[in-house]
Amino acid sequence: MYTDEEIEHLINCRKIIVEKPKKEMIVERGTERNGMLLAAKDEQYSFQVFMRQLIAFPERFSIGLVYNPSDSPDKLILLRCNGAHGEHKNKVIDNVTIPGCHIHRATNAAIVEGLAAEAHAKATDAFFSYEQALIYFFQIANIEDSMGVINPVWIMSSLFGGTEA
Amino acid sequence: MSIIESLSKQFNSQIALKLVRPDIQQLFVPLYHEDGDMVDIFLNENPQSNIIKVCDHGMTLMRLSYSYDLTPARERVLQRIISENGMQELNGNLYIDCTSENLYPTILQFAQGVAKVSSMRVHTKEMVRSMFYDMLSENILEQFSDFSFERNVTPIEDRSYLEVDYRIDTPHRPIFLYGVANSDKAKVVTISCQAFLLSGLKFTGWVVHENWDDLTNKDRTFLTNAVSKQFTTFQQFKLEGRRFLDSEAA
Repeated sequence: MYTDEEIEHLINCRKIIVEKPKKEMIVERGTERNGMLLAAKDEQYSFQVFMRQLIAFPERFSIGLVYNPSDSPDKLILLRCNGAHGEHKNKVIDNVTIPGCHIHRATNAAIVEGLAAEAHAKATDAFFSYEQALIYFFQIANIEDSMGVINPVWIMSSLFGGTEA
Repeated sequence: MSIIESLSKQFNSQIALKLVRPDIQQLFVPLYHEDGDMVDIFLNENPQSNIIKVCDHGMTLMRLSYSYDLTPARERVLQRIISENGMQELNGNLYIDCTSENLYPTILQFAQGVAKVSSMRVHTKEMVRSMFYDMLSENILEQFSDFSFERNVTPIEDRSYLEVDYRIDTPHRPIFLYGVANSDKAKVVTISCQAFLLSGLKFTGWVVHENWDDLTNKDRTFLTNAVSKQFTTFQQFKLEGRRFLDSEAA
Protein backbone atom coordinates (compact mmCIF):
# COMPACT_ATOMS: atom_id res chain seq x y z
CA MET A 1 0.00 0.00 0.00
CA TYR A 2 1.66 3.24 -1.14
CA THR A 3 1.30 6.43 0.86
CA ASP A 4 0.84 9.76 -0.85
CA GLU A 5 4.36 10.72 0.23
CA GLU A 6 5.84 7.62 -1.41
CA ILE A 7 3.86 8.25 -4.58
CA GLU A 8 4.98 11.87 -4.77
CA HIS A 9 8.56 10.83 -4.16
CA LEU A 10 8.41 8.33 -7.03
CA ILE A 11 6.92 10.93 -9.37
CA ASN A 12 9.29 13.72 -8.38
CA CYS A 13 12.61 11.87 -8.09
CA ARG A 14 15.10 12.69 -10.81
CA LYS A 15 15.08 10.17 -13.61
CA ILE A 16 17.35 9.27 -16.49
CA ILE A 17 16.45 7.49 -19.68
CA VAL A 18 17.78 3.95 -19.77
CA GLU A 19 16.12 2.92 -23.01
CA LYS A 20 14.98 5.62 -25.42
CA PRO A 21 11.74 5.42 -27.34
CA LYS A 22 11.93 4.29 -30.95
CA LYS A 23 12.42 7.03 -33.52
CA GLU A 24 9.00 6.36 -35.01
CA MET A 25 5.80 5.40 -33.25
CA ILE A 26 4.72 1.83 -33.94
CA VAL A 27 1.25 1.34 -35.36
CA GLU A 28 -0.62 -1.49 -33.71
CA ARG A 29 -4.34 -2.15 -33.67
CA GLY A 30 -5.46 1.37 -34.38
CA THR A 31 -2.98 3.00 -32.02
CA GLU A 32 0.42 4.61 -32.40
CA ARG A 33 2.60 3.29 -29.64
CA ASN A 34 5.99 3.95 -28.15
CA GLY A 35 7.66 3.74 -24.78
CA MET A 36 10.86 4.15 -22.83
CA LEU A 37 12.54 2.81 -19.74
CA LEU A 38 13.72 5.08 -16.95
CA ALA A 39 15.73 4.72 -13.80
CA ALA A 40 15.89 7.01 -10.79
CA LYS A 41 19.13 8.93 -10.97
CA ASP A 42 20.16 8.54 -7.33
CA GLU A 43 18.02 5.63 -6.14
CA GLN A 44 17.17 2.07 -7.10
CA TYR A 45 13.83 2.67 -8.81
CA SER A 46 12.85 1.47 -12.22
CA PHE A 47 10.11 2.96 -14.37
CA GLN A 48 8.58 2.60 -17.77
CA VAL A 49 6.76 5.18 -19.83
CA PHE A 50 4.00 4.38 -22.27
CA MET A 51 3.11 6.74 -25.09
CA ARG A 52 -0.13 6.14 -26.97
CA GLN A 53 -2.11 8.06 -29.56
CA LEU A 54 -5.28 6.89 -31.23
CA ILE A 55 -5.02 6.93 -35.02
CA ALA A 56 -8.74 7.62 -35.59
CA PHE A 57 -8.73 10.58 -33.19
CA PRO A 58 -5.22 11.99 -32.56
CA GLU A 59 -6.56 14.27 -29.82
CA ARG A 60 -7.04 11.11 -27.78
CA PHE A 61 -3.66 10.24 -26.35
CA SER A 62 -2.10 9.11 -23.11
CA ILE A 63 1.44 9.38 -21.80
CA GLY A 64 2.01 7.58 -18.54
CA LEU A 65 4.65 6.86 -15.92
CA VAL A 66 4.63 3.32 -14.51
CA TYR A 67 6.62 2.23 -11.49
CA ASN A 68 8.14 -1.29 -11.60
CA PRO A 69 8.88 -2.37 -8.03
CA SER A 70 11.76 -4.81 -7.72
CA ASP A 71 9.98 -6.98 -5.16
CA SER A 72 6.59 -7.38 -6.83
CA PRO A 73 5.27 -8.04 -10.33
CA ASP A 74 2.43 -5.54 -9.70
CA LYS A 75 3.15 -2.31 -11.54
CA LEU A 76 1.81 1.06 -10.42
CA ILE A 77 0.62 3.74 -12.81
CA LEU A 78 1.80 6.90 -11.09
CA LEU A 79 0.87 9.55 -13.63
CA ARG A 80 -1.04 9.81 -16.90
CA CYS A 81 -1.33 12.84 -19.13
CA ASN A 82 -4.54 12.36 -21.11
CA GLY A 83 -5.97 14.13 -24.08
CA ALA A 84 -9.66 14.96 -24.29
CA HIS A 85 -11.49 11.70 -24.88
CA GLY A 86 -15.03 12.24 -23.63
CA GLU A 87 -15.03 12.92 -19.97
CA HIS A 88 -13.51 11.77 -16.74
CA LYS A 89 -15.32 11.59 -13.40
CA ASN A 90 -13.51 11.36 -10.09
CA LYS A 91 -14.81 8.74 -7.67
CA VAL A 92 -12.43 9.57 -4.85
CA ILE A 93 -11.30 12.75 -3.03
CA ASP A 94 -13.88 14.72 -4.99
CA ASN A 95 -16.54 13.94 -7.63
CA VAL A 96 -15.49 16.47 -10.22
CA THR A 97 -16.30 15.74 -13.87
CA ILE A 98 -13.62 16.80 -16.35
CA PRO A 99 -14.49 17.19 -20.04
CA GLY A 100 -11.10 17.99 -21.56
CA CYS A 101 -7.41 17.23 -21.14
CA HIS A 102 -6.57 15.96 -17.70
CA ILE A 103 -3.80 14.45 -15.61
CA HIS A 104 -4.35 11.26 -13.65
CA ARG A 105 -2.23 10.90 -10.53
CA ALA A 106 -1.97 7.91 -8.19
CA THR A 107 -3.30 8.53 -4.68
CA ASN A 108 -3.40 6.50 -1.51
CA ALA A 109 -7.13 7.23 -1.28
CA ALA A 110 -7.81 5.50 -4.62
CA ILE A 111 -5.70 2.50 -3.66
CA VAL A 112 -7.48 2.18 -0.31
CA GLU A 113 -10.87 2.34 -2.09
CA GLY A 114 -9.84 -0.49 -4.38
CA LEU A 115 -9.98 1.72 -7.47
CA ALA A 116 -7.27 2.10 -10.08
CA ALA A 117 -4.40 3.83 -8.30
CA GLU A 118 -4.57 6.71 -10.77
CA ALA A 119 -8.36 7.11 -10.52
CA HIS A 120 -8.13 10.73 -9.41
CA ALA A 121 -7.48 13.36 -12.08
CA LYS A 122 -7.31 17.11 -12.45
CA ALA A 123 -8.14 19.23 -15.46
CA THR A 124 -5.22 20.92 -17.16
CA ASP A 125 -4.54 23.57 -19.75
CA ALA A 126 -0.81 22.76 -19.80
CA PHE A 127 -1.24 20.81 -23.02
CA PHE A 128 -3.74 20.27 -25.79
CA SER A 129 -1.77 17.99 -28.10
CA TYR A 130 0.33 14.85 -27.78
CA GLU A 131 3.54 16.80 -28.41
CA GLN A 132 2.71 19.40 -25.78
CA ALA A 133 1.78 16.65 -23.32
CA LEU A 134 5.12 14.93 -23.85
CA ILE A 135 7.02 18.14 -23.11
CA TYR A 136 4.95 18.67 -19.96
CA PHE A 137 5.33 15.04 -18.94
CA PHE A 138 9.11 15.30 -19.00
CA GLN A 139 8.86 18.26 -16.64
CA ILE A 140 6.45 16.85 -14.08
CA ALA A 141 8.06 13.41 -14.06
CA ASN A 142 11.47 15.08 -13.66
CA ILE A 143 13.10 13.24 -16.57
CA GLU A 144 16.50 14.48 -17.59
CA ASP A 145 17.86 14.72 -21.06
CA SER A 146 14.93 15.11 -23.40
CA MET A 147 17.28 15.51 -26.38
CA GLY A 148 16.48 12.96 -29.03
CA VAL A 149 13.02 12.40 -27.61
CA ILE A 150 11.42 15.83 -27.76
CA ASN A 151 11.59 17.67 -31.04
CA PRO A 152 12.79 21.26 -30.43
CA VAL A 153 10.15 22.47 -32.90
CA TRP A 154 7.48 21.21 -30.52
CA ILE A 155 8.92 23.33 -27.71
CA MET A 156 8.92 26.43 -29.93
CA SER A 157 5.30 26.01 -30.90
CA SER A 158 3.94 24.68 -27.64
CA LEU A 159 1.54 26.48 -25.37
CA PHE A 160 3.67 25.50 -22.40
CA GLY A 161 3.02 27.67 -19.43
CA GLY A 162 -0.49 26.49 -18.49
CA THR A 163 -1.27 25.04 -15.13
CA GLU A 164 -3.21 22.19 -13.58
CA ALA A 165 -6.57 23.33 -12.33
CA MET B 1 -44.52 8.05 -11.86
CA SER B 2 -44.04 4.34 -12.58
CA ILE B 3 -40.65 2.64 -12.45
CA ILE B 4 -40.40 2.51 -16.23
CA GLU B 5 -41.30 6.19 -16.55
CA SER B 6 -38.74 7.04 -13.92
CA LEU B 7 -36.02 4.98 -15.64
CA SER B 8 -36.79 6.51 -19.02
CA LYS B 9 -36.56 9.97 -17.60
CA GLN B 10 -33.31 9.27 -15.75
CA PHE B 11 -31.59 7.62 -18.69
CA ASN B 12 -32.73 10.36 -21.03
CA SER B 13 -31.27 13.05 -18.89
CA GLN B 14 -27.93 11.27 -18.68
CA ILE B 15 -27.47 10.42 -22.31
CA ALA B 16 -25.96 12.73 -24.87
CA LEU B 17 -24.63 12.45 -28.39
CA LYS B 18 -21.78 14.53 -29.71
CA LEU B 19 -20.72 14.67 -33.35
CA VAL B 20 -16.95 14.08 -33.33
CA ARG B 21 -16.46 13.51 -37.05
CA PRO B 22 -18.80 13.43 -40.07
CA ASP B 23 -20.93 10.31 -39.60
CA ILE B 24 -19.37 9.51 -36.21
CA GLN B 25 -21.10 10.37 -32.99
CA GLN B 26 -19.79 9.73 -29.50
CA LEU B 27 -22.29 8.52 -26.96
CA PHE B 28 -22.00 10.08 -23.53
CA VAL B 29 -23.46 7.74 -20.91
CA PRO B 30 -22.68 7.49 -17.20
CA LEU B 31 -20.52 4.40 -17.62
CA TYR B 32 -16.97 4.70 -16.35
CA HIS B 33 -13.85 2.56 -16.16
CA GLU B 34 -12.23 1.92 -12.79
CA ASP B 35 -9.89 4.85 -13.38
CA GLY B 36 -12.81 7.23 -13.80
CA ASP B 37 -12.54 7.66 -17.58
CA MET B 38 -15.84 7.36 -19.39
CA VAL B 39 -16.39 4.23 -21.48
CA ASP B 40 -15.80 5.14 -25.12
CA ILE B 41 -18.77 4.33 -27.32
CA PHE B 42 -19.13 5.66 -30.82
CA LEU B 43 -22.01 5.27 -33.26
CA ASN B 44 -21.02 5.10 -36.91
CA GLU B 45 -24.01 5.40 -39.21
CA ASN B 46 -23.83 3.98 -42.70
CA PRO B 47 -25.96 6.26 -44.90
CA GLN B 48 -26.38 3.53 -47.53
CA SER B 49 -27.73 0.91 -45.17
CA ASN B 50 -29.72 0.67 -42.01
CA ILE B 51 -26.65 -0.52 -40.10
CA ILE B 52 -25.23 1.34 -37.12
CA LYS B 53 -21.79 0.29 -35.94
CA VAL B 54 -21.46 0.57 -32.16
CA CYS B 55 -17.70 0.72 -31.67
CA ASP B 56 -14.74 2.16 -29.79
CA HIS B 57 -12.29 2.99 -32.58
CA GLY B 58 -9.49 1.21 -30.73
CA MET B 59 -9.79 3.03 -27.40
CA THR B 60 -10.35 -0.08 -25.27
CA LEU B 61 -7.28 -1.92 -26.51
CA MET B 62 -5.23 1.27 -26.34
CA ARG B 63 -6.15 1.65 -22.66
CA LEU B 64 -5.43 -2.02 -22.00
CA SER B 65 -1.95 -1.61 -23.49
CA TYR B 66 -0.87 1.02 -20.95
CA SER B 67 0.64 -1.56 -18.61
CA TYR B 68 -0.57 -4.90 -19.90
CA ASP B 69 1.15 -6.86 -22.65
CA LEU B 70 -0.91 -9.21 -24.76
CA THR B 71 1.05 -12.44 -24.70
CA PRO B 72 -0.24 -15.24 -26.96
CA ALA B 73 -2.09 -16.76 -23.99
CA ARG B 74 -3.69 -13.43 -23.10
CA GLU B 75 -4.57 -12.83 -26.74
CA ARG B 76 -6.53 -16.09 -26.69
CA VAL B 77 -8.40 -14.93 -23.61
CA LEU B 78 -9.08 -11.56 -25.27
CA GLN B 79 -10.51 -13.20 -28.36
CA ARG B 80 -12.68 -15.42 -26.20
CA ILE B 81 -14.05 -12.41 -24.32
CA ILE B 82 -14.73 -10.59 -27.60
CA SER B 83 -16.51 -13.58 -29.07
CA GLU B 84 -18.50 -14.45 -25.94
CA ASN B 85 -19.83 -10.90 -25.78
CA GLY B 86 -20.99 -10.84 -29.38
CA MET B 87 -18.35 -8.32 -30.45
CA GLN B 88 -15.94 -8.32 -33.34
CA GLU B 89 -12.57 -6.70 -33.77
CA LEU B 90 -11.06 -5.09 -36.83
CA ASN B 91 -7.62 -3.54 -36.49
CA GLY B 92 -8.17 -2.81 -32.82
CA ASN B 93 -11.68 -1.45 -33.26
CA LEU B 94 -14.14 -3.42 -31.14
CA TYR B 95 -17.64 -3.25 -32.60
CA ILE B 96 -21.13 -4.65 -32.89
CA ASP B 97 -23.29 -3.94 -35.92
CA CYS B 98 -26.98 -3.34 -35.29
CA THR B 99 -30.03 -1.54 -36.58
CA SER B 100 -31.75 1.40 -34.96
CA GLU B 101 -34.47 -0.95 -33.71
CA ASN B 102 -32.08 -2.80 -31.41
CA LEU B 103 -29.63 0.01 -30.70
CA TYR B 104 -30.33 0.24 -26.95
CA PRO B 105 -29.67 -3.43 -26.04
CA THR B 106 -26.66 -3.41 -28.37
CA ILE B 107 -25.18 -0.47 -26.51
CA LEU B 108 -25.62 -2.25 -23.19
CA GLN B 109 -24.10 -5.42 -24.61
CA PHE B 110 -21.18 -3.48 -26.04
CA ALA B 111 -20.54 -1.62 -22.79
CA GLN B 112 -20.50 -4.90 -20.91
CA GLY B 113 -18.03 -6.41 -23.37
CA VAL B 114 -15.75 -3.37 -23.20
CA ALA B 115 -15.80 -3.55 -19.40
CA LYS B 116 -14.73 -7.20 -19.49
CA VAL B 117 -11.90 -6.51 -21.92
CA SER B 118 -10.78 -3.52 -19.83
CA SER B 119 -10.63 -5.58 -16.67
CA MET B 120 -8.65 -8.41 -18.26
CA ARG B 121 -5.58 -7.38 -16.32
CA VAL B 122 -7.31 -8.11 -13.03
CA HIS B 123 -9.76 -10.88 -13.73
CA THR B 124 -8.16 -13.15 -16.24
CA LYS B 125 -5.01 -14.13 -14.38
CA GLU B 126 -6.68 -17.34 -13.26
CA MET B 127 -8.16 -17.96 -16.72
CA VAL B 128 -4.79 -17.57 -18.38
CA ARG B 129 -3.05 -19.67 -15.73
CA SER B 130 -5.55 -22.49 -16.14
CA MET B 131 -5.23 -22.35 -19.92
CA PHE B 132 -1.41 -22.40 -19.66
CA TYR B 133 -1.31 -25.64 -17.65
CA ASP B 134 -3.86 -27.27 -19.95
CA MET B 135 -1.91 -26.24 -23.03
CA LEU B 136 1.36 -27.44 -21.50
CA SER B 137 -0.20 -30.80 -20.79
CA GLU B 138 -1.52 -31.12 -24.35
CA ASN B 139 1.83 -30.12 -25.78
CA ILE B 140 3.80 -32.61 -23.71
CA LEU B 141 1.45 -35.39 -24.77
CA GLU B 142 1.94 -34.33 -28.37
CA GLN B 143 5.69 -33.61 -28.39
CA PHE B 144 6.95 -36.37 -26.14
CA SER B 145 4.53 -39.19 -26.94
CA ASP B 146 7.44 -41.53 -27.76
CA PHE B 147 9.00 -41.04 -24.33
CA SER B 148 7.87 -42.59 -21.10
CA PHE B 149 6.56 -39.94 -18.72
CA GLU B 150 4.43 -39.71 -15.64
CA ARG B 151 2.45 -36.85 -14.07
CA ASN B 152 2.40 -35.64 -10.47
CA VAL B 153 5.27 -37.77 -9.28
CA THR B 154 6.57 -37.73 -5.69
CA PRO B 155 10.23 -38.84 -5.96
CA ILE B 156 10.85 -39.01 -2.21
CA GLU B 157 8.54 -41.55 -0.63
CA ASP B 158 8.09 -40.04 2.80
CA ARG B 159 7.88 -36.46 1.49
CA SER B 160 4.79 -36.60 -0.66
CA TYR B 161 4.40 -32.82 -0.54
CA LEU B 162 7.42 -32.53 -2.86
CA GLU B 163 5.83 -33.15 -6.22
CA VAL B 164 7.00 -33.04 -9.81
CA ASP B 165 4.58 -31.99 -12.56
CA TYR B 166 6.06 -34.39 -15.15
CA ARG B 167 8.85 -36.94 -14.87
CA ILE B 168 10.19 -37.74 -18.33
CA ASP B 169 12.41 -40.82 -18.51
CA THR B 170 15.58 -40.72 -20.60
CA PRO B 171 18.42 -43.26 -20.89
CA HIS B 172 20.52 -41.15 -18.54
CA ARG B 173 18.70 -39.28 -15.80
CA PRO B 174 15.04 -38.33 -15.61
CA ILE B 175 13.84 -34.85 -16.45
CA PHE B 176 11.70 -33.26 -13.78
CA LEU B 177 9.59 -30.76 -15.71
CA TYR B 178 7.48 -28.05 -14.14
CA GLY B 179 5.08 -25.45 -15.54
CA VAL B 180 5.43 -22.10 -13.74
CA ALA B 181 2.78 -19.39 -14.16
CA ASN B 182 3.34 -17.28 -11.05
CA SER B 183 5.65 -16.49 -8.18
CA ASP B 184 4.02 -18.96 -5.79
CA LYS B 185 4.66 -21.87 -8.13
CA ALA B 186 8.22 -20.63 -8.75
CA LYS B 187 8.91 -20.79 -5.01
CA VAL B 188 7.44 -24.29 -4.71
CA VAL B 189 9.56 -25.53 -7.61
CA THR B 190 12.71 -23.98 -6.11
CA ILE B 191 12.10 -25.60 -2.73
CA SER B 192 11.29 -28.98 -4.29
CA CYS B 193 14.31 -29.10 -6.60
CA GLN B 194 16.67 -28.00 -3.85
CA ALA B 195 15.24 -30.70 -1.57
CA PHE B 196 15.75 -33.31 -4.32
CA LEU B 197 19.35 -32.18 -4.78
CA LEU B 198 20.06 -32.32 -1.07
CA SER B 199 18.65 -35.82 -0.85
CA GLY B 200 21.04 -36.95 -3.59
CA LEU B 201 18.49 -37.56 -6.34
CA LYS B 202 19.89 -37.58 -9.86
CA PHE B 203 17.67 -35.59 -12.21
CA THR B 204 17.60 -32.69 -14.66
CA GLY B 205 15.27 -29.88 -13.68
CA TRP B 206 13.31 -28.11 -16.41
CA VAL B 207 10.89 -25.23 -16.08
CA VAL B 208 8.43 -23.94 -18.69
CA HIS B 209 7.32 -20.40 -17.87
CA GLU B 210 3.98 -18.96 -18.83
CA ASN B 211 5.67 -15.57 -18.78
CA TRP B 212 9.15 -15.12 -17.33
CA ASP B 213 8.57 -11.37 -16.99
CA ASP B 214 5.77 -11.90 -14.48
CA LEU B 215 8.20 -13.22 -11.86
CA THR B 216 10.14 -11.04 -9.47
CA ASN B 217 13.92 -10.83 -9.82
CA LYS B 218 14.34 -12.84 -6.64
CA ASP B 219 12.13 -15.67 -7.84
CA ARG B 220 13.99 -15.80 -11.13
CA THR B 221 17.36 -15.89 -9.38
CA PHE B 222 16.40 -18.68 -6.97
CA LEU B 223 14.83 -20.73 -9.74
CA THR B 224 17.87 -20.32 -11.99
CA ASN B 225 20.07 -21.71 -9.21
CA ALA B 226 17.78 -24.68 -8.65
CA VAL B 227 17.07 -26.02 -12.16
CA SER B 228 19.13 -26.75 -15.25
CA LYS B 229 16.94 -25.51 -18.07
CA GLN B 230 14.25 -22.84 -18.33
CA PHE B 231 11.99 -22.01 -21.26
CA THR B 232 11.07 -18.38 -20.68
CA THR B 233 7.81 -18.68 -22.62
CA PHE B 234 5.46 -21.49 -23.55
CA GLN B 235 6.02 -20.57 -27.18
CA GLN B 236 9.73 -21.22 -26.80
CA PHE B 237 9.05 -24.61 -25.25
CA LYS B 238 6.77 -25.56 -28.15
CA LEU B 239 9.51 -24.64 -30.62
CA GLU B 240 12.59 -25.92 -28.79
CA GLY B 241 11.40 -28.47 -26.22
CA ARG B 242 11.74 -31.53 -28.41
CA ARG B 243 15.21 -30.57 -29.59
CA PHE B 244 16.44 -30.21 -26.00
CA LEU B 245 14.85 -33.49 -24.98
CA ASP B 246 16.53 -35.31 -27.87
CA SER B 247 19.83 -33.79 -26.79
CA GLU B 248 19.31 -34.98 -23.21
CA ALA B 249 18.40 -38.46 -24.39
CA ALA B 250 21.32 -38.81 -26.80
